[in-house]
Amino acid sequence: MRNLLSADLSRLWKDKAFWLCVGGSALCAVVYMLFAGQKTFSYATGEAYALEDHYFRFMIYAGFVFAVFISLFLGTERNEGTLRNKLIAGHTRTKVYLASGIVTFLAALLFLCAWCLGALAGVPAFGFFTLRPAELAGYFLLCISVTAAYCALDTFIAMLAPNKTAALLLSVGLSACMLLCAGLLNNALEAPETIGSLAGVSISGAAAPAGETVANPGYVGGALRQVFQILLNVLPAGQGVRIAFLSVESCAVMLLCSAAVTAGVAALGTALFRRKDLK
Amino acid sequence: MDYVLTTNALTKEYGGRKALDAVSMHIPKGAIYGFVGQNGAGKTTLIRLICGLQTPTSGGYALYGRKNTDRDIHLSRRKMGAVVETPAVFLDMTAEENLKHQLKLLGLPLFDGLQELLETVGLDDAGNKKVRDFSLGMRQRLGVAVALCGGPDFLVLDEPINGLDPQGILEMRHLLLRLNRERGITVLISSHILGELSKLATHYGFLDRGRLVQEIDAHELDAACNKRLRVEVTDVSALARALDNMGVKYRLLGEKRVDIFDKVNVSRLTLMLARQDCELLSVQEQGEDLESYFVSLVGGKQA
Repeated sequence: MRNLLSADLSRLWKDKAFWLCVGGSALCAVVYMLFAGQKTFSYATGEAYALEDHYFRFMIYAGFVFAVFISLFLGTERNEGTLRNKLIAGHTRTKVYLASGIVTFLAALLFLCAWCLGALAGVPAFGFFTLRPAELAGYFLLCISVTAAYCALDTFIAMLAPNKTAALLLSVGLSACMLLCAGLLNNALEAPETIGSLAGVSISGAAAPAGETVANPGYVGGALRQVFQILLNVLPAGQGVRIAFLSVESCAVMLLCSAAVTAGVAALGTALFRRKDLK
Repeated sequence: MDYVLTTNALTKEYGGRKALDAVSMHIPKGAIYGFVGQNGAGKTTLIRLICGLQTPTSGGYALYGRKNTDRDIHLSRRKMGAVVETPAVFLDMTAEENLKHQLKLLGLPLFDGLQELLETVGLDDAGNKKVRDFSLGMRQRLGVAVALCGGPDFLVLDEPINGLDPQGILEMRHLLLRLNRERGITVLISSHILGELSKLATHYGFLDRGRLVQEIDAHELDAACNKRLRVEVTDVSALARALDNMGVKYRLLGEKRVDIFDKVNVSRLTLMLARQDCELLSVQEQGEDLESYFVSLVGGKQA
């Protein structure tokens, strides 16, 4: 395992796409924060924005960055046949799979670090974090655990897809689907339980006295709400959305969900990779 | 006899189609084993199986005495190097970087013998060049260099002379012979270029539609191909006396010609004939070559 990690890390260090992603993440963070810094308070509430209101927005799009990089990095080994060298050199498939997962996770962590450093460009406009240190640490921990879950999924696809192009399409497609689902779930859960009526007619069309609040027909309640919440917690993109908008209800539950996704996908991927016929 | 690799009724199916059908082959230690078969005969499938890239549908193999089902089969694989189909190298790296990567994979981070490896395969001037800019022949050589990292005892080469120019083919032949004779490396080599293979191999395995038709060593093949020397002289009785003295098998073909079935020292024979005032007019090697032998074996289909 140590030899695999040493070889893969030295390849990572020389990989142009890796440095492009690191630099790109930092640059995007700086540009984003400079734009965001032009509006320092909410017109709706009149409250001033804090640094953390924008700081974790990377987690919405992180899935795409990881998907592109991991499918290209691991897909190159498949396309150029160098994956064979690892097996012929006597490394077991389990170790090859896990080493690939660890290296891509480390790469993704560096992209995350690059964003976090670049996003400090927002400090002059917003000041420093207003979250309590424990809360802030929780958000950083969640970023790392979601990154691990994304990497587990992308490694799974890259190691089992027939080639680099297929891996890229599947990974990016999965990220897009997850983000879409997360957006829909988040919107459904964010819907208020009651809404106000206007001019005697509620949004649902039923008659209601003006200014009175009525039950929101779009509100998701009961068992379905719990299912939606579980799905949002399990989906890495769902967690990403919650982190980005600081709407995490239970840090521990989300950490557990990420850990379960990471471990489950890695175990399944390893088992399938051990049976896979390679060319 | 010590065998590096033995297979026992090794079978591989893809969607119900048998790519390899109960192949039982034996590669002795120190041999250059030529693996002969048409396109789709199953040569690459067998190589993929023994390299651990795929698992057999049934049957098995033993590598240095360890069965493929043993948990420690990877220890035997550490003694082998292989080039399967195309050279497995990173195109965006230089030749040196590729070799360093392979040495790291093998747990040899000091990169001992890296320059020697490049010299061995004739790439000592191209170590700092990106592989993307290499010709196909140079990539083949680099693939062999990667396979030689860590000093393997068993080298598996799938069509290693594809894409090489005549000079490259000659250099590859000399390289393989040197590795076999000087370092005692056992070589399994599959090739369509049977003329070239016949200059190298000490043993042969003939594969046809997934089945091993015959396994034979080079001496047996020579005998089966009816290899003989056809000698023409001015006095056939003088030649017969000389051959009797040398104790070799021969057959008279008329007043001037004789077929000799054993190996003879031609210089010694010429001297013996000269003493009897007999001139040696011509010497020709006769008999089937590997290509025609293979064609007759598999019923008219060319490799």
